[in-house]
Amino acid sequence: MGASIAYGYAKKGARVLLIELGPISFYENFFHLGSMGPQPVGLVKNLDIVLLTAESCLKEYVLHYLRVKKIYEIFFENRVMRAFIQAAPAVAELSILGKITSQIRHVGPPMEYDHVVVDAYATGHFLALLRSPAALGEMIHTGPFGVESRKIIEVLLNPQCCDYTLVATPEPLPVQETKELQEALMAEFGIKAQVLVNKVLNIEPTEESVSQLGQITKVEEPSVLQFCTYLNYVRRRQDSALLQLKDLDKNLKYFPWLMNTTEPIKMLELLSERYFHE
Amino acid sequence: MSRLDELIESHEVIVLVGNGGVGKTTMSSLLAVRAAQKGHRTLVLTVDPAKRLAQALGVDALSGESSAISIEGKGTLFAAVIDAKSIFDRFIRKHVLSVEAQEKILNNRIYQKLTTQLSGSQEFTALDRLLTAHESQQYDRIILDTPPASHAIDFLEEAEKIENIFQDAVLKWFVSPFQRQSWVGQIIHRGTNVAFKGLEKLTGSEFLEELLNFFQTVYVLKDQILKRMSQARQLLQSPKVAFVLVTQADKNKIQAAEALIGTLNKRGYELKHIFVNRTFPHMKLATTMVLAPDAQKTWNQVRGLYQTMEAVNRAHEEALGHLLNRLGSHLGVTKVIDQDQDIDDIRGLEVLSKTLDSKL
Repeated sequence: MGASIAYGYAKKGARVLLIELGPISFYENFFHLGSMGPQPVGLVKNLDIVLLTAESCLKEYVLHYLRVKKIYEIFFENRVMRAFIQAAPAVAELSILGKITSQIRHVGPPMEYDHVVVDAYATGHFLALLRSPAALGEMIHTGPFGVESRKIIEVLLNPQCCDYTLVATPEPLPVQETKELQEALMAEFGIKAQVLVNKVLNIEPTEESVSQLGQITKVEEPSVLQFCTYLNYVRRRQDSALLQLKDLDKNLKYFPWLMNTTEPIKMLELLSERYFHE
Repeated sequence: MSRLDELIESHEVIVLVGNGGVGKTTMSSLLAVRAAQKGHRTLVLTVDPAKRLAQALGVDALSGESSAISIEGKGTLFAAVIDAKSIFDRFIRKHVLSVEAQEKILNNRIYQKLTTQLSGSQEFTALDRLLTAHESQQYDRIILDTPPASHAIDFLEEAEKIENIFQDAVLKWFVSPFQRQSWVGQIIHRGTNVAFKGLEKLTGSEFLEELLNFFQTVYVLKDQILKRMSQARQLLQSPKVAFVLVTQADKNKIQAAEALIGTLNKRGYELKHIFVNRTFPHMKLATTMVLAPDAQKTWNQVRGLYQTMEAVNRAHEEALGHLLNRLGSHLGVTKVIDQDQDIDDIRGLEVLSKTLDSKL
């Protein structure tokens, strides 16, 4: 869904950066992009993808800030410093969020994009990511880290420049996880996140007609009854999930399960069309 | 005996890893229920900060302390989450003898943030919790549910990371900056001095002071922390422990799983088993049927949907087959068919466990 939203903006003519949080890239294989890293790779016109890790973000920031390559080399090729970077709490999270918000804060190397779409971590780890600048900003009052932490959180909490989208599939566990994340975002940060539901299966025949079919054929074709039972269960599970998700977001957007679409760009095209035109 | 039961019988600790959304927590719970049903006193632990384990077991909430979960059969099942703050606090109270020194650490501002709001303490505390549970000999089997892939890697690399941090040469810079008196030492560390100045420019002196203060405070725990991490690494690499990958028959998830397997191998953790969760329930549907018009219409729609779902899943299963061939036959594989009922409590898990028996 993240890639589809990014694709949709790019299709409208905006310059878009799709950020994936590392160390493992999903898009690398999905789009057959070769090895992904901190350098943006063009996917289609106006859309670049990048894989960010804390180390790559910090390196870029340090190099830009210190400007002297020698100091940068000492900084990163020194095992004391490497251990420090690994050990210092919140440095990893701050580096990533610093990079994501750098364009708005006018800090670090320039990024010339109209939209930045972040394919972020799952529930608990995403909350931990957001808590870092808030915690550090509270604790450290002076110096660049304290100041930047407060600026980062200010950007992240500004609805004029940042919105949050939770993506669920229509099943009990993802729905519950979405509910908890939405509540936590509101309680801790005052963030109102919109909800999308992906992989919605279109089951044309009604539950009743499917049940009837199962009953009619159960003697001659017991496997039909078995599949009808399964299909109706999937429908009920999906319907219940959709109802709960609708409670979370009255403007819930539905995205179909594109079972017949295997070409990744075609998939983005279909999903983004729905996202922007529904 | 099935490969799955062999896995349970021959390992004291089973660690489940996998990408996000593949059903890792459900599979951890399933394995725990199955181990308990075989008569083992079993503990299922989760490192994931989300509340999925409680949900999968159908209980309201879980705490850092083991909660007994009622199951059918002769065994006993316990479940717990990793409560980073209480584990860390307990670790300090156990290993730091002076109450004054204990309070100094517990009141350190970075320590307080690290154990509550900031990430970074989950991995260490998870390893410590796992070791403590294993050493306690209260459980015959421990099932560990790890966070999604990228964070599972953090967990697997934690012992090594902490060992790097607590190297003597590194620590000297954090804990005794004024004790470097030899001229040789001064020359060696000149580069670090420059780096520290750069670091101060980047972070500010207040942050750096807080951090140095934190390192100096926890220095008293150095030997215990290193010992703990060494024990954790030894346990995870020992034959008592099995790593199990959870994936789904989905091309993208299989590709992501392969990357995770690579990381496991690189770190010396041997993959013993794969769970392929929620595989499509293939059925032998008739190709044609003659029915009354209304039923015929429904049949055509149902048949069409089945064909589409089956074709998609066959393609995914082919990709899975290639992966399994590459990995070799020494690996146990359990395919868990997508069910036609909810698996969101202990009864559901018991039913699911029985379906594995009928298939095996």
